Amino acid sequence: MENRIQHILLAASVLLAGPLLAAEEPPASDNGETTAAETVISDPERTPVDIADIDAYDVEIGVQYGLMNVEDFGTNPVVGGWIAYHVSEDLFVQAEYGQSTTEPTSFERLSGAQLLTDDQRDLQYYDLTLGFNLLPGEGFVWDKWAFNSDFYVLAGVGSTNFADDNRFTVTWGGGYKVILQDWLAIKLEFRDHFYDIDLLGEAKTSHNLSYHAGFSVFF
Amino acid sequence: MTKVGVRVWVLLWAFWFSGMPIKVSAESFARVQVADPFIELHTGPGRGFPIFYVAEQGEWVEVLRQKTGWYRVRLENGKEGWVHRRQMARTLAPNQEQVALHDPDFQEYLDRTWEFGVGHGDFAGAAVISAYGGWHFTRNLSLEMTLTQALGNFSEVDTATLSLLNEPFPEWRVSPFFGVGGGALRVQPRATLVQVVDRQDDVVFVTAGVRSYLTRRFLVRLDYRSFVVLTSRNDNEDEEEWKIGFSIFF
Repeated sequence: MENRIQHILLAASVLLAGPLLAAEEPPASDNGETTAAETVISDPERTPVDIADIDAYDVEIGVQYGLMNVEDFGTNPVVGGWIAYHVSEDLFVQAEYGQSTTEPTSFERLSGAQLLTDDQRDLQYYDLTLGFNLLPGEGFVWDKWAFNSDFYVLAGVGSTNFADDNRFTVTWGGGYKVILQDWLAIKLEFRDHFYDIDLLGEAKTSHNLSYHAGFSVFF
Repeated sequence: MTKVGVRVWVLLWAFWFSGMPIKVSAESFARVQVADPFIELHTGPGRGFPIFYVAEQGEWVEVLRQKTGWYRVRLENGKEGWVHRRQMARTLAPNQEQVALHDPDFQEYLDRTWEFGVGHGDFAGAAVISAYGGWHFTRNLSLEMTLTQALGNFSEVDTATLSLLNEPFPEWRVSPFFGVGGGALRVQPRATLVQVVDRQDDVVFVTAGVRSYLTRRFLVRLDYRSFVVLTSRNDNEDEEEWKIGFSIFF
């Protein structure tokens, strides 16, 4: 982690000092008449690099942590991960997995009855979503830093495993993502997962809201 | 997740980051020369980001990386910004030829080898989610492996199938395909119902559908399958499935 902190500090200092360094650095500007093009062409060491091989940062992998409310079963920590492919600057597709452990219902607490075993209280979900970058732009932290950011919305379908059954789940949500580096982003996200469940007698639609923070790397 | 699980996650990520190289300018990047009167540098990879600088005709720029059709470039004076592929496509390579941009388009869609996608629809009245991977060995023929999970009120039906597809007119904007396949199907009754044993059967099916290329590496697809479930009982069952989904290709 120390290395990471050093990297972030280094990146920050380069960002801040960049314009100053750039003004001092280039030897070409000291040579008066030499144009940039001549400098490049006269370099015999240069090997052509195929532009098709340039690193593409279209795939994003991330982890997240937050709180999930499972209707009737309390609000508990949820941890998960996702992988996204950015199809265009507007559109991305995402697969996500997450898990949480729920707690006894108030009925169970008061009566002493037990509806579910410990294993059945574990909840896992996966979903496949289509996302849209709604408000891309720049966010400013005081007057020193500017970060690219995105407000995005997403919706999709998935499956929730809870109380020994997989339930078809519809999900939608939105979030705010700040792109700290071309390869690094942090996000805050809100989600609703809803499904039909008949565990407590009659069938009903259960809304499970979660909010979480996460970070991701692009490659 | 258990505490141990959380720690494993944290460790894995710490390991991932500690291994990430710090990129210094010593790396060699592709260089191109500006041929238009100028190219515009945006602060970010998107049309909404402001233009903060321009590189003039004749200037050489290093191309550092790309993101969804935008290229991050560095000028000789150290300025870095994002250039749209429309402008990058009109720059010159060191041999003074126009640069060959490798950007996914309809031609690449026609020549694709791999296709991966997800879908959602209806399997015998239950909501179905599917994921598939396909290998195109000619422009017309492809082999696909599909996993589906259908979640109904009374049971869950999972399938794993292989199919062979023929797409007779791949160059059509909305292109039909047909195929046959087979695989396995498993029925798990809901836990809230009286316990019934799980069932696993073989299935065969015919399929038809359409694909349509959207943008970059993205296509939409509509699938229909008519299954025959080869049960161990006296009668086989017929089931139908509809799905709509999106896919990416390589």
